[in-house]
Amino acid sequence: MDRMPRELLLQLFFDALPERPTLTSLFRLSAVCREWRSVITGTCSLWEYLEVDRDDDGGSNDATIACVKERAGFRGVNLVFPANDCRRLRALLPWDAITALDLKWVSLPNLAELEGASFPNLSRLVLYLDVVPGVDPATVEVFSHCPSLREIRLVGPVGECLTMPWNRLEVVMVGNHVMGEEGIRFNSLIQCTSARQLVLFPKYNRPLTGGDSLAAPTLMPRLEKLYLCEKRLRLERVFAVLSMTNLTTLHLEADIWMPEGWEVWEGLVGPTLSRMDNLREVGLMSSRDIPAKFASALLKAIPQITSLDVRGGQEQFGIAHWLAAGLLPNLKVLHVEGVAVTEDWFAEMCFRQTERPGLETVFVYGDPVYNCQGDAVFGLCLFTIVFCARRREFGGGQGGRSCEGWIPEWAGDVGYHVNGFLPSRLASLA
Amino acid sequence: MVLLLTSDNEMFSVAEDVIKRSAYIKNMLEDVGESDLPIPLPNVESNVLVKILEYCEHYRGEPLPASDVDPAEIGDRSLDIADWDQKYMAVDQEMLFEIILAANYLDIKSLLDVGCKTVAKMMKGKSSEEIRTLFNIANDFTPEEEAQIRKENAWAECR
Repeated sequence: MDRMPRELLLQLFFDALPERPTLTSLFRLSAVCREWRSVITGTCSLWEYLEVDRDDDGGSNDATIACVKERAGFRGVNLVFPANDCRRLRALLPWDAITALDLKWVSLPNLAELEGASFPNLSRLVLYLDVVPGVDPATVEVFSHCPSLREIRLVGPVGECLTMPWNRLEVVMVGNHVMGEEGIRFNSLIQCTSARQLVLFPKYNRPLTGGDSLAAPTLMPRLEKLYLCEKRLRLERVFAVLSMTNLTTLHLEADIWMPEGWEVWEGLVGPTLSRMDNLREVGLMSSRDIPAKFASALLKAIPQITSLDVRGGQEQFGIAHWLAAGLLPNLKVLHVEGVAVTEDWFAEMCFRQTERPGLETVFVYGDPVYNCQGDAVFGLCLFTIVFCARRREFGGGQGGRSCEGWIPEWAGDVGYHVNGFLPSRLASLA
Repeated sequence: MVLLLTSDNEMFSVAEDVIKRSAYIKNMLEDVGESDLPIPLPNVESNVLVKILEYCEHYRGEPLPASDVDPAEIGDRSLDIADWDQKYMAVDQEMLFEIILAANYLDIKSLLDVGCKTVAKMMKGKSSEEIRTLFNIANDFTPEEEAQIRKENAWAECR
């Protein structure tokens, strides 16, 4: 070990540390010997993202922040900060050292201590506001004036926060658990004319009332990626975004898709969609059914897409049929869900590399998972299989009940553990 | 066939398609062209080269991995190791590090990757002291450094 050069030691550390190293893991490795300590403390990138997940009033936070500040070389520190430490943070870290702030569960009186701060280099801000009722907008407005801020993620009762001058933003994500009562405020985001990516998700099980969440994105001329999740999504509203020819990514998720008025719009779908030359990634998701006619029209009109995510109701519009028919010839990534897709015929039709050489990765979500005899194996198990066609590897994961005992033998040396049962022919392709 | 001369002066005659898994040798062959002269490997002993050749032979014919990935890049790095590679790496610690050093010298990325993952797995979940014991590393900190480390460890242990 003592002959290992520094670059190999560093590779070892990258392998041994979590993807985002925690302070604990860094401290442990750097306490082994001087050489290791020198490599770890001298590698700024190891210290750039740190989750400071302790909330004590002792001096260790001070020492730690000072240490992080020194080791990250002022290149910018991404801090996930716990709570009640804004004053200490302010005392120890120069504002211009902070490029990203992830303020989870921060209490608002404490947030107010940040008033007057300029954060000249802050480019990314994450605020989880849903634990504290009655946000004082002034405390959030501090951030809206940060000159380098390009990305915000606001979660919780964002309310008035949306009306602030967020006019330099490129990435906007707003998730509001009580948006049902104040959906109209989504439209305050029309000021974000520089936005390139927009993610909007109101509380999933409440209907959006008092506003049209699709109005804001249509007034963002640079928008390239749009993710929208609503309780009920009316198709005629969707047409508003289909005229946005800059879009490269469009994900629409709704609990209920409301196809009323389809007969009026049906003839317009093809011509409208065919103008979306830049669209490459499409997601259509629903906990129930996606309107088959809409989905079919969309896939027909945009054959150039490289990534397709269809979850919910796919049996109706027959994704397997489209793939088998040779449509979507450029498809590289496919997400599918449901019973049918875990059956042998689907696997055979979709995953044979000779027939679809461009298809690189397939994510199959099953709930429940069926075996090849059609018997439900895990009725309550949320299950994912990842098939990387190019590397011919399977991976998977599951939440809920354990699938131990169902790991197929052939899965022993693939990239991940496959916790579950795959159709026999899918397995035979590995 | 390619001739290789190890640091302990043993000569090996190896099929070109086997040893070309080493980017170092591959580049050398491309630069120098055909030659009867052996390629000296002053950093590799014969017992280590035997082991390296076993790896290259096993993966003979398999496509070479892409070389454009930065090994130090932070990403989603699984520590899963294929069955055969695990058995191959079941050697004593000294040989394990010799393999890693040779893989680094010969620029065999996939082998280096497996070697580093094997060592990383050995380190997982261990305290600083346990790592020192495991790899026979001396604690060479000064008293001042020890004091700083104690402070840091207090943080780590409170968690």
